[in-house]
Amino acid sequence: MKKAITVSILGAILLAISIYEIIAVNNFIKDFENTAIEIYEILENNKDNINDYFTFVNNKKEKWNKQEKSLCLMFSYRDLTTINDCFSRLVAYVKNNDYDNACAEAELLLSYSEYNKEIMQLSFQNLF
Amino acid sequence: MAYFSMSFTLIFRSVSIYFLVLFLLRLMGKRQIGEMQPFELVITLIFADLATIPMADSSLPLIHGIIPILTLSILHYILSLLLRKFNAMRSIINGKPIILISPNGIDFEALQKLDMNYNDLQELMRGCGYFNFDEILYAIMQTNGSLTVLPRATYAPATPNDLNIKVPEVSLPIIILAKGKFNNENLKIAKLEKNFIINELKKENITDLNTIALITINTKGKMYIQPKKGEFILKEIDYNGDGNW
Repeated sequence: MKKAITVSILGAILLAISIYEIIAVNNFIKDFENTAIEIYEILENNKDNINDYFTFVNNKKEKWNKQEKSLCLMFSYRDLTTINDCFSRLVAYVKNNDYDNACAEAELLLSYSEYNKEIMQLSFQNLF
Repeated sequence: MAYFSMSFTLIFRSVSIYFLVLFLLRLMGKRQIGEMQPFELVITLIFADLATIPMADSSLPLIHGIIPILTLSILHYILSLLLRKFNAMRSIINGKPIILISPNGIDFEALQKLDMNYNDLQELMRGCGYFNFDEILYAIMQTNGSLTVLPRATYAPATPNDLNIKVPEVSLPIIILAKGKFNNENLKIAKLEKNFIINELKKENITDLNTIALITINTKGKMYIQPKKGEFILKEIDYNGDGNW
């Protein structure tokens, strides 16, 4: 009986972690995707003076940095560092008004959001 | 500082995983590796592998190691429960004991089924203390891979019952003092007072408890005193406890 209670508690912990992860990951991916789209659209619409949006992009990066600490609990730190590096390069290109490279980095951010969506979703290839 | 931080992380992760696995293995019950059923062996092997991944790779979240371990423990518990309840399932998961030697002799088909030869069988028999096939009436290969032997009556060790000899019942000794310190729990079980033991020791000219490595007592009141240095002392005491443990 005691063992059954312990195992039930462990099961409940497991379920709680899983539900929390689903909610947290959904929110994160949605937020990340919106950020990437928003940055990309700004860059597309302001090809000549993208450096005007340096503060905006930098704030997004700061927000990402804050999120990264809690995301380490769920994602591989290596994957997060790749996104962080991409953000850092993007901020530098925006500051230098380098549209082509900034656009390439923004596209890369978009592809990371797509990639994360794919690896987190319930799908045949993820299960098997 | 960076090195310290990484080392600290790895130490923390290793300690966490170690205690988690220890706790879960204790939850599963006490079994030696050689006595494990197939499904128990499988979970132990997977545990060992799963536990080392998040321990060594600090880029992976600790939770990625904990979740599969917890899932497998719960699965193991459910499986054990089902095996206890349903015999049919037990034989599917664990297999069935196989008779290798019967009164007619060795069962070759059974040996082949187990992918064994005579040498393997002889080796297992020798482990049980039997060297000739004719000494054995039954030899059964258990589901955990151990061989159980029932010897022919003429080769079985004689017991007092066979010889019609009355022998006093054996009694279980319990530790009441170890490394100079009383074991209060066992003293309570034996219904003995510390002062009583100290007085008994004084009779043997032992006044300092720190010179004693171990004292045990059995239900008949036989006391075994092992000093840290020197020979052990056996002492019969006037035991008033009920001697029922």
